[in-house]
Formats: sequence, C-alpha cells, structure tokens
Amino acid sequence: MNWVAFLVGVAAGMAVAFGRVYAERLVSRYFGLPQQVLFTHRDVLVPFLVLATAANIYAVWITVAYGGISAWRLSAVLALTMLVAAQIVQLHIALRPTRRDLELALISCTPYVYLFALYIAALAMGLYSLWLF
Amino acid sequence: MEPAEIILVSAAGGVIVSLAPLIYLLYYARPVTLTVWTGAVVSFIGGFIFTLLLLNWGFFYARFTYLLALALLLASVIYSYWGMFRRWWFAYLFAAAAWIYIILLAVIAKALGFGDLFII
Repeated sequence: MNWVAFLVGVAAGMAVAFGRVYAERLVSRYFGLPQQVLFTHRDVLVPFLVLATAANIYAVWITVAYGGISAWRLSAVLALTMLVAAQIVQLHIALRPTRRDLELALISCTPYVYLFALYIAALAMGLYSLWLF
Repeated sequence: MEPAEIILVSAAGGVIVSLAPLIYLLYYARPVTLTVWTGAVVSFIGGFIFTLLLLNWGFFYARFTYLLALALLLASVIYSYWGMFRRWWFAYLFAAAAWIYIILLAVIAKALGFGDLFII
C-alpha cells in the first residue's frame, strides 16, 4: 500500500467531484431547474468520480514506480493508456454534465475490467506478474 | 519520506479536509458565500498542518504539547466546518486558537533555543 499515491489520488478525485458539483450548479442556475431534475444519476456519479480518479492515479503511480522495466511491456503500456483515456472521459463527465453520464462512466471502467482480466489470467497461469504480454 | 513527498501528502490532506464540506454544500445546493470560501481556505491550512504534524508521529508521539497541538488542530477544523455550515465567520476566530497555540510554542522554542516546537 502506497499511502502517498492513495492520498494524492483521493485529493485529486475530490477535486474532480468538486468540479462536477460546481458544473451542475452552473447548469442548473442557467436553466433555472433543480439539480436533481436535470441530473438523475448524480448520487452515483459524484462518489464514482472520487473513487475512479483515486484508482486511476494509484494504478498509474504504482505501475510506473514499482514496475521498473516491466512497465514498458505491451500489456502495461496498454493498461496505462487505457487509464489515461478513462481519466479524460471522467474529466469530461465532471466538467460537461450531460444526460449520458452514466453510460460514459460505464465505458470509462474498461481499464479496471482489463486489469481484472489480467489478474485472473495471471492467477490461472500461476504467474507473479500482471503484465503477461 | 522525502521533503517533496511530505509537502505533497500534506497538501493532499489539506485538499481532502477543505473539499469535503464544499462538495457537501454544493451537492445539496446550499448557498455558497464568501464566508464559505473563507472557511475552505481556513480548513485547508488546518488540514495541511494537521497532516504535516501527523507525518512526524514517530518522533513526537510521547510529547504532551504535540498531542495537544493535534487535538487543537482537529477542533480548529471542526470549528471552521461549523462556520461553513452556519455561514458564521466568528467561528473562524475559534479555529485560530490552534494556530495561536502552535505559534506560541514556536516562539517559546525559538527564545529558549530548542530544536523543535514540542517542548514537553
């Protein structure tokens, strides 16, 4: 457990969640409607943004810091790229709230599915590294 | 930990402590005034110093003044939250008590020529 990466990730995630609620506030003021009416899934999305940003930063940090040379294997580079892409999608969710936020949030979970698949494969093959190819 | 890491973790602590009430207030569409933004700044400084002191737990955990400083900083953060929720700026004067205590400790340690703040 790397507490530096964890705390920095949680702080960054809370900053993203703050951006989300601030953007919701601006939009709801512009249309003169309450936020619950405009954004039906905000109760899911605000905590999701905190957790997902923390997970992204933690995953990228430990891969680059502890991976050493294996951070340049194709599977690791693929994971890093997917995590960066997911972070961009989550920033888009936070700063431009729309009605399709939940779908975008689901799409942005692909790197976690990929990492979980790698984990299961590594367990099944009896390997001690996540970066199989 | 390296100095840069210590500053980074302390800043993260300050950000977490100051953004938690702001996210709550904006989520429930409560009015956000100048008093609330001031409280965010006050609680950021409180959280920053609290985390900074907490990182030095291994050196000072047996000192009474250190434990008192941690407890006072916790009370300071709670007072600044109170000021943010009630939009009552006077609460920030209570929150300043911990800072005054730490500054006094620093002045005493400087005057007596000690190496650190926590004299007892």
